[in-house]
Amino acid sequence: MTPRLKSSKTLVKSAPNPYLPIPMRIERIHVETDDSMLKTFELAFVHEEDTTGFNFIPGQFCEISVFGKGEAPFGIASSPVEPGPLKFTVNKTGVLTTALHSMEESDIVGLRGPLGNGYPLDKFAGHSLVIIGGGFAFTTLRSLTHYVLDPHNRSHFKGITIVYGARQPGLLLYKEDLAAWERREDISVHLTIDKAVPEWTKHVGFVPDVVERVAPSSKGTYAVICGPPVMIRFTMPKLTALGFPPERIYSSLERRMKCGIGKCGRCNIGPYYVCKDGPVFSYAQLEGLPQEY
Amino acid sequence: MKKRITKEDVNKFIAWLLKEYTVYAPAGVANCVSFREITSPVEIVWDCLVTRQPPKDVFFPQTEVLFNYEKTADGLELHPTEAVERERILWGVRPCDARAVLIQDAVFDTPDARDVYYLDKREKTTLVGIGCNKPLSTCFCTSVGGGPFKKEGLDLFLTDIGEAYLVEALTDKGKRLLSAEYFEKAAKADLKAARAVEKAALARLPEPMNIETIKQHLDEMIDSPFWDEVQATCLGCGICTFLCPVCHCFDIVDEGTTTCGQRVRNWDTCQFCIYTLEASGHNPRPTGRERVRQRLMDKFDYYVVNQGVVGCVGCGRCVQLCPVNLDIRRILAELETAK
Repeated sequence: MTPRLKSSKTLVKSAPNPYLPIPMRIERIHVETDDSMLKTFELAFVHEEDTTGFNFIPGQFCEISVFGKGEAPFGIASSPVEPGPLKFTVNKTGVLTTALHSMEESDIVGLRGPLGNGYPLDKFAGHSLVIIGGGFAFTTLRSLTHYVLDPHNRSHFKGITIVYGARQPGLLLYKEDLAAWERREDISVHLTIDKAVPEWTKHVGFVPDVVERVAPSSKGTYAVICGPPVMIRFTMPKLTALGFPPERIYSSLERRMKCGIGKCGRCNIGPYYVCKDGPVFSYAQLEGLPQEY
Repeated sequence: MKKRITKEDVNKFIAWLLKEYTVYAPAGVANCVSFREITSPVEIVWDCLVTRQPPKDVFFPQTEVLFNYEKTADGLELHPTEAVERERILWGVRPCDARAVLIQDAVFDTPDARDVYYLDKREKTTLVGIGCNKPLSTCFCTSVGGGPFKKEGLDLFLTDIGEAYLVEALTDKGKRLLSAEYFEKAAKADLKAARAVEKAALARLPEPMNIETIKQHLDEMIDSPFWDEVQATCLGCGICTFLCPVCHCFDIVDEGTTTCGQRVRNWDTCQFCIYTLEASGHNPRPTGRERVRQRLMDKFDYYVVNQGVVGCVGCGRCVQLCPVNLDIRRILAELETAK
């Protein structure tokens, strides 16, 4: 058994210390994209007792510690209905993610979470969903899709449509999942790439145009959209034209974060903290606020 | 409960406190008076109304180690910073700074996430306040819901009545101090003198600004060119936020190697460009325009939404110390016509 926290004079006896990460072991590293810039890290709890009490919903995130480099927030890509380790798909882009990408299986990282609100599953229940993703912003959308397709949950939702695009086929995440979903009858999957390449038989073109062509009726449907700002900027008018009101368009936002619990002040958009009040917001909530995201 | 203590006895009282408590009080180093740990009452600077730094670092140090980490052969060890051992006295807090502590309480102590580092020190501290007989020209506490003799957030309150202080206990912590032998019964003349001092202090302050309409103005001014005007002079140095008793933003960094080191939090400011800069290069607040807007909107709009109070206590430090004389009072006054 690995030693836990060394005993110390507890700061406040009645309250847990929200800044202490729990140790996680990297169980498996999977390279997601052709350019090797995206890897999925499967993290297992080092201590059995940390597993109990770790209950999350799709759309929540964790702060992952790479000791010596710091902490950064990542959406949970695995789903609460999947057994086994937690999955995080990480784009190699800064100091911390570069260090994480150079780590190996069985290395130790820290984890705080689950944090944030997650997708409003109660609101989605009884409705159709159109899930729109672009580039590597499909992580918590993967979690959401697995959740709604779970045999225990599928009957709570009506039609499910996915529109997912990337620049080229090799940059699509979760290829095995996508293939499995395409084989199913109870979900409509539309994959698109920016420019045609040989042997690609699916959609070609940008996500907003595909959404316009394949989106289900906006009546009784919620749209969930995650992607690069430019994709969101051009998809929003299409959704509005299709009749989606801002109350039924949700997005998961990203901001630089530190504490993840609404103290450090960094991630506010208007009066909301993305870490605590988000990261999932409806566009009705964001109307009239500075577009600082 | 009100008593009096002579100015001679105050020093004896503080010397007595030092035996049992760690005492923080306004004390000077190189003409810069801030709240520091003292070892003798003679170190206290009594005539400093607005200290350079607010007392927020007594609960929320400018730099604080959260924990030490060490990777071992079979895992990871964390050693969190330990609880402070001694009870503390924060002596000589002005009413504006005491109100700011209450606003910070609402940030650091939320039911879903209690900041144990802040709370440990907060719970072990008794706040001794002192009224402001002669508010400065930069003071504007009465415009933002405070006053030179407001007692919110304090345990014990002193009013300077010349030869002596009139002392009022406001909480059980305060009563415990007031039971010391150095205090005597207050006479009617003392109460009268205190009322006169308070009246004279209020007369020195300007007419309170009307802040009722500020939130409404701000809501309508997100895209206003007014912010370009404000940011044109702002250097983005962040002094207004570092020295603000309400501002609570911090950064968290690791100092050390991958195998051992410490995780530290440091004060940070929304006025810096890198504050919101993401690893991808995207910055949601790319220019000074968004950053000066954030400071004003946070204090006079978002705080009102989240806490029901403005995030400003009118201490005037930002007015005193801004290198380009940006005056928050003037900015607020201009909102009315700037839309």
